[in-house]
Amino acid sequence: MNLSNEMLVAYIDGELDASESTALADALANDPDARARLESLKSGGRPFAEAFDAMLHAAPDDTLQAMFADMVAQTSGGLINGRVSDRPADETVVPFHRPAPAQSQQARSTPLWQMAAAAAVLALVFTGGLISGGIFNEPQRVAEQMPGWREAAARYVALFSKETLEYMPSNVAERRANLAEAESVLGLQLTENRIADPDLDFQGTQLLNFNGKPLVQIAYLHGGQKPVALCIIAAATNEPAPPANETRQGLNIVHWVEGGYGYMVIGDVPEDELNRIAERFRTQFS
Amino acid sequence: MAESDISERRKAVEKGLPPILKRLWRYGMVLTGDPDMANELVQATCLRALERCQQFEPGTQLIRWTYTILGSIWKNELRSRSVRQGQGHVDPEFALVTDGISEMNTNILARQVLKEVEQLPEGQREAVFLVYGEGLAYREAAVVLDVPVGTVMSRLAAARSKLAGLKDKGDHLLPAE
Repeated sequence: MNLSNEMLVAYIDGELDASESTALADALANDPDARARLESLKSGGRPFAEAFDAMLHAAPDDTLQAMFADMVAQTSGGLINGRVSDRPADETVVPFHRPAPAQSQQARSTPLWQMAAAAAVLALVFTGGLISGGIFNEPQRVAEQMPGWREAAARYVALFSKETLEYMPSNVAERRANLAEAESVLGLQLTENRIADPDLDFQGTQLLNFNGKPLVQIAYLHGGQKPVALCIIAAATNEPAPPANETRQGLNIVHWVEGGYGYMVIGDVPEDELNRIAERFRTQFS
Repeated sequence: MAESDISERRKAVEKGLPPILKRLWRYGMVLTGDPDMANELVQATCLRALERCQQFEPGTQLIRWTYTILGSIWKNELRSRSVRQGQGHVDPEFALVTDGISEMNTNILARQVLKEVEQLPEGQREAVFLVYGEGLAYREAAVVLDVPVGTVMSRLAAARSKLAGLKDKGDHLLPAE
């Protein structure tokens, strides 16, 4: 069996057919060097689709549309009258057009991927005083800001699939480094005791950016299928707020404020289950 | 080809292009790392697609057909007059993370990943983009790039090796903002 890097990458990407894939897995069992290369090549994976999708937001769509409308008008010869009026579908809401079915199948067949698939929750940690006292103390500003961060977080989480989370770093050192970075940005301890949950499988941490404020996301899977998120944001007030439920983007949410931070647990998980998870996080962070 | 057929194809292309202009621009960015050059590539691609609309098979994916056109215009026409000669080394001005991306509420991880992709040579960059960014199968990417499937595989393997190395060194961690 050819265990070249090319074949290993094809294996990771689910591009081999079933018999090739089986043969390669068998050959791997007897080849520690190839196994090491496989792990290395896996660690060269990234959430590429998500990253490239960020570029779509930067595309000068108005300019491009105007350019094309002019071009059509100048070249149409009457085939279609005037401008192309259909507004483009918004491409940006589907960032993770990733896996061919074979790919996820493949992914699940290896222990590492299995771990990733086993459970994912997403913890979004928002920092920088976004919740700010305003949200809880000044109803007028609630309208401006609240849809702000919780809605943004909900939209973000709604885009995640189990497959997305498979792209989060799987090695311990890197996970730790990302956590440490998040900790320092947030000014809040994110120890294992705090971020672990018996029903959630930790996937990784991300720093996000909301209205110019850093925002940290820790990802988990619930029940091997459902991404869930815990969002924490540095609040400008120490005024606590008890847990409350809401639904955004079809996802259940529990949110509360405590110790100067706003928290939010979100996911496609039944409300009572999510409440239990939120309660545990509340205890762990208090 | 009957006049009515050409008319149908022209309509299909005219209606199909506006929703994918942003994606074409993005591919242009992946190749050029320059927003203006990407604009120019999209424009040239649209013009070529309209001119050659009789070659477009309705019902097939317009995006792949136009990706092929865009890539070929870049490699055969525009790249040669660009200062960026595509020698495989990293152009210091090449950037996927533009002001537009920096200003927005963009996922910081996404920016880190784009910074890493910037460091890949052109061939690897576009293979990564088509397969991992656009979700094309190797075979489909090979058709768009007009290269053998084996070339797609070796570019992806090389890209992953390079990124794995970056990861080991921790270069991908940008300072927290």
